Amino acid sequence: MSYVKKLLLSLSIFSITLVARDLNEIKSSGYITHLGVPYANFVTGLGDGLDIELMKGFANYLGVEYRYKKTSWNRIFGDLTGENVKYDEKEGIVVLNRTDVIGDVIASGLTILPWREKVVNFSIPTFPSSVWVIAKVDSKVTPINPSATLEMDIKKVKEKIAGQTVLTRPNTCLDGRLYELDKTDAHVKIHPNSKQIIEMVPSVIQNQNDLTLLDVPDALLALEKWSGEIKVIGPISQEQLMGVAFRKDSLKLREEFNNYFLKIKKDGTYKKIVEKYYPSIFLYYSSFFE
Amino acid sequence: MLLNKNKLQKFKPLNSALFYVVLYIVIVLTIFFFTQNLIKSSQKQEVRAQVERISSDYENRIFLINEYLNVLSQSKSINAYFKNKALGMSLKYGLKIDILKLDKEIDNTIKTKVFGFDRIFDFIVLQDNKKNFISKEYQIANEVQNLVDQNSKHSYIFPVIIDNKLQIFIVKQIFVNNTYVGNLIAKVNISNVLKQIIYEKYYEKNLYIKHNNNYYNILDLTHNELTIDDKIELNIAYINLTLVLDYEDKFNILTSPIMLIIFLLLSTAIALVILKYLKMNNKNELLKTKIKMQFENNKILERKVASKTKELEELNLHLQDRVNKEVKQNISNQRIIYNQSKMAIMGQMLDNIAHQWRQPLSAISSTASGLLLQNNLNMIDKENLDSSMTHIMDHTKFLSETIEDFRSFLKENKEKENFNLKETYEKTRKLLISVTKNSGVKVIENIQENVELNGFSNELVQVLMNILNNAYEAFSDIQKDERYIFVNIWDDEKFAYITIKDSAGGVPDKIRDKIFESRFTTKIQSNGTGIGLYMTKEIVISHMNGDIDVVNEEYEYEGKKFKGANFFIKLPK
Repeated sequence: MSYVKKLLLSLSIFSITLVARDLNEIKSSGYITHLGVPYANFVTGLGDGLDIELMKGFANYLGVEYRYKKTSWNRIFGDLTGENVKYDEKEGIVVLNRTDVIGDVIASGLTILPWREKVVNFSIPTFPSSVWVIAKVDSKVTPINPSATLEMDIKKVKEKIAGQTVLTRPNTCLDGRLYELDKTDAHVKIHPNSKQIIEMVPSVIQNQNDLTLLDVPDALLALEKWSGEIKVIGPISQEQLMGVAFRKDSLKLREEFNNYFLKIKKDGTYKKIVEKYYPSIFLYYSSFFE
Repeated sequence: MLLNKNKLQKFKPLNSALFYVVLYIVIVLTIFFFTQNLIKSSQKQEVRAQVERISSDYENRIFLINEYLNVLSQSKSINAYFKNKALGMSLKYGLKIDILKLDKEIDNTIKTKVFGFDRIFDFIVLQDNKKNFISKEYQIANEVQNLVDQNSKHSYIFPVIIDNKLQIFIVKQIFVNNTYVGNLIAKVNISNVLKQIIYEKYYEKNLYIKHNNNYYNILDLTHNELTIDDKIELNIAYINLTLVLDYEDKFNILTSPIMLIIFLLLSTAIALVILKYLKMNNKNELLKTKIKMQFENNKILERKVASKTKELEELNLHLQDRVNKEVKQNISNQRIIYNQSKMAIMGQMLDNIAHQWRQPLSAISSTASGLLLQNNLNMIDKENLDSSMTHIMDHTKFLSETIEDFRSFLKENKEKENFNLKETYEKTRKLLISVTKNSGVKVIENIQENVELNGFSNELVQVLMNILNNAYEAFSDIQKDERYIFVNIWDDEKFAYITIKDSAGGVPDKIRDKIFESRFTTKIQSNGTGIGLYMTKEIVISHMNGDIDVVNEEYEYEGKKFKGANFFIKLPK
């Protein structure tokens, strides 16, 4: 990171602290603001979703009012921290601009990625995930035969995707760079920010792309929704986890959320929420929810 | 003339009970068995019609069951699975979703496909063409597995005997792109299917499925070793089964032994009612005859009564004469008693006259003797002569007054007149002077001056005389210093009252009620006639319309206690 950028970062951090809210401020204000992006069944966009119910429960746990703010993948971190950022392979975290802090917590099927952990603090993992490669059902690319290890499966997939267009979405868990797709013979294509992730599968069905990346929760929904139209080729990532993101200085708030999450996981409340929105996840990750 | 009782014997209660009971039982049993046969015959026809209806319904249901399985076999989830599998998708990466979906769909089919409330399918499984379970696993007997190998695009139903129980399976083979990929095998709950069609619960126990000449009851599908002689058979389409109904059993209450008992009880009750009715009828006849007899007897009695009435009437006429005679006699007797009473009083009065005249006559005699002597001695002077003559004239006047008193008493009052009670009492005292003088009885009088009555005064004299006379006579056992008679006379607006109370000890209680009876007396026979108080009462009550009574009274006078009879007379003014 250049000196100027570092300076700017320091200054922004200083300014951010002026408006930062931790647990005490949230309790005294009487509300907590949940930042969410309509995404799969985490935030359906219709007022419900796994993460919506999770955060409503947390607000109730704190004894404060629940508020929701819709955001987008582009500005989700800026809305939480006050700084819009992007990930650059060479430069790492790049601050794009400053913005107003409008939320206290991000819960939107957010995958815990190494670069994201530098921007925010994550709670203990709330949901298991992975990234699969999805193809149209009649694609000549055939699903892999599962092997003994995940690494071998990933390797087989990477071999299969050679020469195929693969749709990705930067700065998300569907970012091809995370999985070194550029080192394969696949043609990596970027799904524009103007389009929603939900449009990635239809683009494959409509032959706009050969393949697309999709995280497992989304893939399970897609397989139901477009049953008989798509197929899973195989995994492209290691096992991943999703969590709830907090500002770096919202330590108490994060700690309180962890306590809350452990409680609802133990008493079965969380399992019921998951069964409601992702019943098929138990087929693949039953041990995570035990 | 009473009726002959022999007629009554015709209407005796029916005694030949035993005969009728036996006859009754025979009739009842004959009717019962006759009706039983009729019922059976009718039931047979009804059952046949019902079983035919069952058969038709059953065929429709079997067709429907086939259709359910066909639809399931073509479901999106099952096809997606096989397609995805064919595409090479693995369970590890995505295929599990299809399994989850097809499991849900199979479960939904099992739960929702029902007849009534009973499920059609016990289970449904999906196998691949290698007989690996794709959906939930179930124990499927080898017999079934072997039958699955038939290569047919249509579903087919087949019965299988497993552990002596009949089981019905339907198999539908699944083809994807004309390639056989797997099977849907469903176990049909044939009991539920048939149960719903049968309306009569009783039939369930006697309905069998015949398969390979063996019978399986439709409820539990177990093999039954039996031979059914009387049966209805219906072949069922699609499967090699025959529906058999055994109605040899009396599966209807109308033909059951209990019906015989009910019939017997009912008919016995009816018979008893009829018997009762007949008895009542006989009783009625008997009653009618009795009434007729009674009627005739009544006529006889009426004649007797008429005769007696006539006798009584005649007797009445005689009786009236007799009564008149008796009344006259009675009046005469009363008069005799009255006269006797008066005679008795008169006798007493004569005694009184004699007593009263004795002393004046003695005085007149001695004065006259004195004058004669003086005259003979020429000693008589004018003064002495005047004095002696005055003395004689005084005594003569007394004698005359005495006579006048008695004469006036003896003279019968012809008309009622007003009289003073005090004067009447004093008159009575004078008449009793012979009794009262030297009797030692002190008479204490309290007499109101102006008490007036209207009537016959001499009768009252008689009354007072009787009472006072008795009182004087009662003092014979009483010391002279304890002999008192208290006489009170007073009046009010309506009545005059007289009480005469003595200290002679009173009337003994045992004779007090009798003293006013005629001929009752306490005196020895020569002295008492017993008519005194009787007449006293008769005069007071009948002649003077008054009242008289006597009570014994204990009282004090001048510090001494006395007991005596107190006569109380009440006379209307």
